[in-house]
Amino acid sequence: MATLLQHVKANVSGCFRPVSWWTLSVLLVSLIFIFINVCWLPPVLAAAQPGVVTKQVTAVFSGLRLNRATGTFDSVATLKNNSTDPVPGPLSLVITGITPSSVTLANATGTLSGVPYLDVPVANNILEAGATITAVLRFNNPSRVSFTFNHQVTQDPQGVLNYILNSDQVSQEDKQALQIIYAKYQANDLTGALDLLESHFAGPIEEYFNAYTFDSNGNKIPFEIPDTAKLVDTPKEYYNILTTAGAADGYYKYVFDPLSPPPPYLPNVNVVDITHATGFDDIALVDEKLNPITASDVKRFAYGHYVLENGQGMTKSVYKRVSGGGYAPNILGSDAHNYSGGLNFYEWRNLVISKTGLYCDIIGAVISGGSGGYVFYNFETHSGADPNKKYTDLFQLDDCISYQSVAIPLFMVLSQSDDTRDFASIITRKPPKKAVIYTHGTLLFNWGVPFPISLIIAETQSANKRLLDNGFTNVKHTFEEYGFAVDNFYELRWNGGNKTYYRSHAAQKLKSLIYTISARNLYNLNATEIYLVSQSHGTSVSNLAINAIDARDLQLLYGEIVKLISFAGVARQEYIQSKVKQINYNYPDPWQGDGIAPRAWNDYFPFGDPEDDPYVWLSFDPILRMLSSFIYFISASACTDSRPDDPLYYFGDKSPIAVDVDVRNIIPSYHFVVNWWEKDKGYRRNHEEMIVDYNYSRPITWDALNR
Amino acid sequence: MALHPITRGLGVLALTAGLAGFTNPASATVLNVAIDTSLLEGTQGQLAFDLTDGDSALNNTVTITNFVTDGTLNSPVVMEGGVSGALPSAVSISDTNFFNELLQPFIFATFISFTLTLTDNYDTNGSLPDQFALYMVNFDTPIPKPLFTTSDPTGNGALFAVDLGVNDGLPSYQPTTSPAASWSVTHAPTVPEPGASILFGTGLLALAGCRRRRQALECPADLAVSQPSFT
Repeated sequence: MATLLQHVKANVSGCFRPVSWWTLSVLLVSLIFIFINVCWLPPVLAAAQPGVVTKQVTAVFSGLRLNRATGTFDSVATLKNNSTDPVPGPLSLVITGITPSSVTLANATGTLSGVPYLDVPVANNILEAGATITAVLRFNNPSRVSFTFNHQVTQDPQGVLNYILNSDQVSQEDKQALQIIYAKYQANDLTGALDLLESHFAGPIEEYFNAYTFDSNGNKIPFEIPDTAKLVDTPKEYYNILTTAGAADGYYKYVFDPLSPPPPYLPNVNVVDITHATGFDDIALVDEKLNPITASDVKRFAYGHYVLENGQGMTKSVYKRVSGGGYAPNILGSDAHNYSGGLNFYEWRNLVISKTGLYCDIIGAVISGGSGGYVFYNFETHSGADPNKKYTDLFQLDDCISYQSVAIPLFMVLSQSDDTRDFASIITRKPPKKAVIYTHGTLLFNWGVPFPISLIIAETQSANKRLLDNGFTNVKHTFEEYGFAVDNFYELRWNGGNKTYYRSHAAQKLKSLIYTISARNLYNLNATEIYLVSQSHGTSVSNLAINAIDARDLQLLYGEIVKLISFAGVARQEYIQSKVKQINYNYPDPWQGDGIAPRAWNDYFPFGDPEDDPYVWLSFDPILRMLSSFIYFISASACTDSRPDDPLYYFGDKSPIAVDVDVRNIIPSYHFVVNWWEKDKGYRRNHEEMIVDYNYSRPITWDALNR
Repeated sequence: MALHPITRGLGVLALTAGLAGFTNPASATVLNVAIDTSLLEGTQGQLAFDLTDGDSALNNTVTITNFVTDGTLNSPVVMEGGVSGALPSAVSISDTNFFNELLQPFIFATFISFTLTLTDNYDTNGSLPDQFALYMVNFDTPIPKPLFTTSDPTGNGALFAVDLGVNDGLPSYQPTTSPAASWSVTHAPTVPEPGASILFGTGLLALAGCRRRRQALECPADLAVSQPSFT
């Protein structure tokens, strides 16, 4: 080296030939080379990859070493907060794309759609700026092969498992993407985000579940979906697909509503209808294909906070399908937002009973707003797989505590069954404050607590029509039997001043129809005006129309005006309303001739000739302690006026029109006036109005009434 | 007389080749390991030299040299993966397999010392760096267990572990149970890898040789400044 330097010195100081500069350049490069060679340090590798949710936190992994106790190969993950702000915990590491698949994460906290994740505890739940935490990842690698993986750092402020999966981490075969899929998108480009997801799934996405989004700094920003996004029909069903729209590029996070944390296994899901068109129908179908539901299916029921906004928007061919059902907590159908006249149809099929109060918000959400239109909730109980099975307890509404009714509360239950053996049952111990119930078919309400119903409508005709309009079949039965049971009410309270009533009338174009209202064992019936209206009629009921109200064992009627009205017949409705003024308090048993009053409507109706056997039966036996000022028992049986000249042509002497009011054993009664209205049992026979007023001061017996 | 083009070209070529070697640098970490095994004297166990591949690339080698001990090297030695050589002579462990291990049966006396030369390469296409770790283990099968625990955060009882290609210091752990060995792991001065140095030196020597020859023929020292040659 010394010799070399001497030569360098000689060249530099004394030999100025051009070649000396060349040599000098070479030596300069050599010096640089030496410098590099001596001082070179390996680059800092394993550079931290940005976290998905918590961009401030990066993770670096050590190499693997053999765990001689477990046989796993372990790596130490160091998570560092590279930002200047504290990051709230807990944090988790999602390990994705382990290749080959024979290698697995042995100490995963859990998996999401098969993707393992590892919780990383954070002291005091805060990772200070610049602070680090470590976690050990243990990989099962029985074949001892080299492997690779990716990772994501996630943040879960709710303490609920909602990690982020990349859209390329859910296989197409995984049609139950149970957790969150995030989409990286350009600013305000939801369509791009959807395209990203849809391209992965090789098909359109039909459900968009959204919550909050985070901007590139991790700040929560309002959720936003542009109107340009649209829902499309697809046979595929993905759950909890998250798409986001926001203000900046980046990854975004699905966050539960902190005000309504769901059970750990049920994330909140928001479904947003974003088309907003008017005049079309929304159909949200929750179709449970599994019945009974097994424990493993519970995780599928991700309908928590099922929010359907602006429900008037979609055409019938565009709908959201949520397959699953049952155990759905807090189903919110805030359909009434901006509602202005469309038709929403929500169908939950085969929901099974839950005794844990998971259904409570089904009601609450529905009544959260609205100014009109129709919302149908079809809690269908019929099971295609088991048509003979009856589901007697469709819902159990326990602990429904959060209801915020507005001007026009809407809680409409449309019960439609294609099998009369099925019936729906709604059981609740803490029902909503206010409700409108719209039912079609056989529906049993069985609630045993005060339930201030403002309006219960049990209507079949228009419901049938709507169902037909919506493409439903199996509603044109030649014989339909509808029942509306409100048995076992305890302290039924209507809103004061409202004309609250049960009303029913028959569907048209039926050969026969029987409609009953069963209101047995009502207790503490308390309302300003109470209407129990059972109205069975129809212009084309060709065989039989029977209507009955069974309100036996009614106790404690407090209504100032109680109208218990039962119509049956085939006359026009307006005719009935205008003409039926008479009272029939005790029509003798017309068919059996034994003088024994019928015990139930189906004890004594025969299937007679077309349009010849309208029958009405009112039974209040016994009614205890009737305290109303005015009680009207109206039992009307009428027939068509299509042949007014010759009623016997239709009915004949042996085809009675039966009207029956059975009010035996009313004890004691304190009402001031009881109006018994009776319509005679034949067309244009004795149809003059009769009004009989009674002032009761003693218990009423059958004999007392049998005048 | 100009420098012969071929001679000058060879020197430049050698130098260039040496430089080119740095575009894919091949440096090494040299560690001097000294272990006090006095508390384990007479204990029969095994030294486990493990090199685990983390980046799925065949790019690292760990060489054990200068192995000195007053203990006894026993047999049978178990070698898995890219292990060659035998202690106390030099042993080379390459990441030819995912897991590469020299399992050396040993009767501990008072000390062990050796030198580790570890290449520092990390293919970032992989997920993790390669790692070398040293253990003192028993004879359990199929996986021998550590003779004592250490502060190894994985709980695996490594004396120390080195991530190759990652400038993260030297993770050396401490024993947490007794009896145990005590050890020190220190960095030896980092030197250029021999292959690159030789190539570079060859280039410099060739240039120096050319210069000497040219000066001897064309530019005597006493005339070099005053009479530059233009011929």
